Amino acid sequence: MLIIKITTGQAARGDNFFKRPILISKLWRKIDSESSIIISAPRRVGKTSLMRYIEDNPKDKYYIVYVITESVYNENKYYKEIVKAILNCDSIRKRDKVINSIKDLAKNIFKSIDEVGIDSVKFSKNIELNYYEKFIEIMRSIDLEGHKLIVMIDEFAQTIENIQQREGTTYAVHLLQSNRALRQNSDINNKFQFIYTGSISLEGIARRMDSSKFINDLDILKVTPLSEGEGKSLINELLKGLDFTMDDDTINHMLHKIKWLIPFYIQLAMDKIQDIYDEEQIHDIYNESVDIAIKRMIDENNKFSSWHERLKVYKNNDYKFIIEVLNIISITDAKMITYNEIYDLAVSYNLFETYKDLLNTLIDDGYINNDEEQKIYTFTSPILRMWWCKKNEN
Amino acid sequence: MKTSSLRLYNPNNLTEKELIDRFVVRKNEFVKILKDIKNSDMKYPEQHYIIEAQRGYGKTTLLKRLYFEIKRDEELNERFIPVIFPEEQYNIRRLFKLWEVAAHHLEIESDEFIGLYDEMLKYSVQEDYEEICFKILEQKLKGKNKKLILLIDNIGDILKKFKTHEQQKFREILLTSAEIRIIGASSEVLEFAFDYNKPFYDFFKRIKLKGLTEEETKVFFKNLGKIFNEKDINEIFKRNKGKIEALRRLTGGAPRIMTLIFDIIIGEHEATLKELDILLDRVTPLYKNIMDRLSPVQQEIIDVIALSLDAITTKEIADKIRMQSKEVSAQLNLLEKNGLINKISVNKKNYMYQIKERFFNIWYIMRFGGEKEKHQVQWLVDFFETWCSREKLINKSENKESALNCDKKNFYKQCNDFNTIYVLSKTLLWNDLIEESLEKARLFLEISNSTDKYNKCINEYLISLMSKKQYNSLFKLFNENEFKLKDKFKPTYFALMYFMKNQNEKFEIQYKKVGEELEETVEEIIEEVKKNNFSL
Repeated sequence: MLIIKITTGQAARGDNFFKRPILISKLWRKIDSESSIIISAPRRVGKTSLMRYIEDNPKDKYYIVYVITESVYNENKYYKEIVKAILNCDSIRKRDKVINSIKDLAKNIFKSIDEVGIDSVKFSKNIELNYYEKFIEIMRSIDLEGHKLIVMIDEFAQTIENIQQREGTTYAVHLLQSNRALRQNSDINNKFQFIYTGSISLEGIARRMDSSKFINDLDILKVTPLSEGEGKSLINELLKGLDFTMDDDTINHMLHKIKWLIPFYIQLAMDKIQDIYDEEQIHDIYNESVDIAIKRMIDENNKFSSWHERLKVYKNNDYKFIIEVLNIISITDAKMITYNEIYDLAVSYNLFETYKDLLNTLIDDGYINNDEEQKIYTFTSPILRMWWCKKNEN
Repeated sequence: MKTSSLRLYNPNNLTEKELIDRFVVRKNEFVKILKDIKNSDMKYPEQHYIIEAQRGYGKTTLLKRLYFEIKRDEELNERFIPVIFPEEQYNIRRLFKLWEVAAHHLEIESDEFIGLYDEMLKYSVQEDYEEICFKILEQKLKGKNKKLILLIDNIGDILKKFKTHEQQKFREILLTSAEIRIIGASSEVLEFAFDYNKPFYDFFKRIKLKGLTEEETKVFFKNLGKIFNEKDINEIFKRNKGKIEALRRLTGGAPRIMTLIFDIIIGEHEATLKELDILLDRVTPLYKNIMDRLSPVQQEIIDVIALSLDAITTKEIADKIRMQSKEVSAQLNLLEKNGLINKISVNKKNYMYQIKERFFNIWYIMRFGGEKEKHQVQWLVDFFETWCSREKLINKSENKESALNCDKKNFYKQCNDFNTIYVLSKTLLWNDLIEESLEKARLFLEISNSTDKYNKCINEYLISLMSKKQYNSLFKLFNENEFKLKDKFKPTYFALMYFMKNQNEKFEIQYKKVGEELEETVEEIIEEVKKNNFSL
């Protein structure tokens, strides 16, 4: 029997990944259309898990390389990591022809590579190469046997932010530019595509550096929360591996309580129910235990304080405006704010020119939802709203 | 055989058998983590853990228990190789060092890994030495077809020392390598685990260890009794039920302290306060060390907070030590960061502070407090002991009115006797003659003011008043300083604050001051009041 384990920290992989066929085929469609892609979604929605699923289950004619660049602080190191990941990629190394083409490459242009082999590529010390150029050279000469290379870059926006902090905005923007130059280099761009993702919104950081134009060729895949049906089947899958049961009514109650059905919230709630089960050995879980579990989720506010913390990248009036919008939604009886009220608030903060961007970031990052027709904004999840209220009480 | 408390302090001094034999609490947590390890094929990177708890709560023991289990279970031993780092790892300041130390331990763990450390050292002049170290470790594990379970005590101390980019790198590795799994333990809440700007946000699954419950204490003591050949442990436990429970509540139920309590209880039979005193002596080296590490200003601040026992505001602290609130605030932040004090919000801007480890607070008062403060602790111990050994109240079946008549007659005969007045007062309350009852209550409070022997009865009366929803009258009584009711019946006072907290913000703030050592008792009183409400 296939069992999905509760996963609340690590990216869910293999059997633990809850498959979302519609989302997966959407991503493949975008890959098939040959564009490079940003996978965009707030933290904990499951971006990394989705990428790793694609990596573990590639379609024919694609080689998939996953690289995480969170700890990278300069452009050359960024390309070095990508080159290394390509040369060490398992699916590539399984192909004799491809690996031979790389080996030849190594002999001819790399000279600095100590070995290209089964274990890994090791670079000699003391020779600092221009890895941007090396990437181009590899792409020019590599024989992919008609395959296409998908390079998935996790935490790309974090790398941009690292560089901005350490070397300044000019260098950070340069990385955006050089990535774009590669994507548009017609000599090689038929051989690879990039997929970027990360916990910081790439669109947001590009916007703040006034550099949106360097990413506007990218196709965007928005990872939406689970539908009610998907939420239900995730819970049922998780229950298969657990010792307690939940009937349909209880499952519906839980989904209703969470509302914004990102896998992480569901997993966290199930984890708290597991705790209750461990403590009290209640085999049949009903609404009451669900409520206690959700209350515990909110009380252990460490899982949520990040929602407030990360708004601190906004400064002065931007920050005050955002906080006030969220405060108003959280405390009014209707639990919402209208577009007109937001506009009025923006005027008071002298932000009438930029407030739309701020509002969009709040939507992109999963704080609030927009009901287009009625022009009202609410918190994405009652859980987040309850936490926000609690935070304000303190 | 007598227990050696020195050995009990440090689970690292126990042999495998001793540790396993003693492992009777924290079983749920043990099973939970072990089950996860067993069910993980580690084909992909797995969920990493952090066990969080204060000192003495059994983190190291749990880590060691896991370590031994992985080693002795054939199936697990086949797939995994566990490595446990000692509690203090002063030498790991950089990420490469972590891999070096892991290599070193692996070599001790199994001959298969001999030479690993030397292999790493060959590259020590390379710029990306850290990366190479990990690659070598990873390849070796793959080659030997073993997955590494790295059990790291005080992991917070290690991670804190890493620079941001090393933390990022470490997270990258844990996110991408399926060869290694971390089970860490930490005595402080890891700030970076929930700071969104820091790389470890939400990354670890956190397991919190709480103090032992009454039931767990029983199991724990029985097991200790078995180990130390105390044949009549059941009898000892029964005889000292109230005392053990009082000390458990006062100390927060930390297993390390409970072991010391066991040691004292099975020795000479003494009064609870005397036994508390022996216990305090035993923990003195531990707690003194905490004080000695602080700067003089911090010592002064801790002194004020500890002696107040209940939470206290920044301004109150500043006034007492004649410093500016701003300066005090800065120090308080440091003390909070170091895990010595808790911050409790009063409202959006103001905070109250309280000593985090409640038994440390008790120790401080009993060693450095004045008579007044010491008396507070004595009353508290007394309260706990009587409360915990109380019999269930039996509903009166007699007729309310005839009881009243009878009690009144007695009162006219003996109007200076505590019992007579007390009984009348309670019966009046029972008959809903509140004003009259309160009038008599003042009388019995005056009579009993110089002694503590009627405290149990008085507390019953106070709870009954609450059950009759006479919150404001009771609050007035508590505020009559001559009776010192607030100090003598602290848990009952906080239960009252619970019922009054919606009336006014000041009561709500008072309620927030409940120390951890009181929580369980306050909750029980609240329950009792609610139950009586129902039956009245």
